[in-house]
Amino acid sequence: MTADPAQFETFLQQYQDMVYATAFRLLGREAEAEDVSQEAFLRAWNHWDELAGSATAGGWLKTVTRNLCLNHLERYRNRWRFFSDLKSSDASDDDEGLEATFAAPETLDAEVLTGDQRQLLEEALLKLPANQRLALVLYHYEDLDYAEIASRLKVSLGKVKTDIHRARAALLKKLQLRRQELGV
Amino acid sequence: MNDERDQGRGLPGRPGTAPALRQTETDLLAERAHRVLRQLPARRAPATLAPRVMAELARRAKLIWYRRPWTDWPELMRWLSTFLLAGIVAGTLRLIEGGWSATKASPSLAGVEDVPAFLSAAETCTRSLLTVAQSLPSTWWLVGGSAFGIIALGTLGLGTAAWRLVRSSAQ
Repeated sequence: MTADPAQFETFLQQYQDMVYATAFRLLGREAEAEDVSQEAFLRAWNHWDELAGSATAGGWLKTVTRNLCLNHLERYRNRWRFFSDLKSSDASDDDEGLEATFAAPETLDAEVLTGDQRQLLEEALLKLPANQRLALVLYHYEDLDYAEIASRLKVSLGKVKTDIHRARAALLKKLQLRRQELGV
Repeated sequence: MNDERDQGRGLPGRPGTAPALRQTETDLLAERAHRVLRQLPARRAPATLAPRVMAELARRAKLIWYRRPWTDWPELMRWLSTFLLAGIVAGTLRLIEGGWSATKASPSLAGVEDVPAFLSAAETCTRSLLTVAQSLPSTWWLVGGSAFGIIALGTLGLGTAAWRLVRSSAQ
């Protein structure tokens, strides 16, 4: 391999935040996100002849990171499936009606989060059940559609929709409660 | 976001709720969630990531060729190893097919006569164990099997309880 390490290091500096952020959102754990990020860059090094100077290098790296994360989670899930207490798609009806309590459409354009609200939302996102967080992140950050998510996670389309819906409702309810506390 | 992916794919309506209204609620929820989620800042990579990656690359670069992945071996070595592997496979197949009797006839490899003797000893041991097992009354089997089952289930149950306890305390 005749790759230039200095050039690769520049590439690494350029994309490390994107790779790490993607991994962290999907995995929800710092140490695992760092491990997966390292593996993504090592793979990039193995394909450096094709990636160096390529305009699609960022997209390639993001896809590889996402696939590594999903593979990592699948291995983890398989390993602990027996002990897992992940909820099935027929979870309780506790969340029924949540969506009806949110703001009217005219408030959408003006909705800008404060620093406090962003922090609250970040924490709430991390506290979501793993299946809900993963589906939500794949939909809203990785731009996969429901069918792709169901296929990648090997679950039914209905479960994906339910998980994403419940995750959205839970996050927005937290946000709304905080605003009510602050009298906003 | 104009969430086109949500169009026509809303969740089934609750009893007594008009489907159109239900769809609108779901769309609004999706749109709001997308707007607020996209406002979250991307988490920055830790300062240790880049040095870690470069250190790993340096470590791999120092590895002697045969300790690297096969795809990174020198081309000559890859060809040689391919031929060598093919030779080993072909030789093994030949040995299995027709070479066994010839090997036994060779005085220099007389030690292979020990293999049937060893197999015979193993067979004798197995037969003895089977005889002992057959002579045991069925009650013993029942008690032994039950004890084994209880121990196995107990271990599994304790393991599961411990796992869930650790997990719930971590959350």
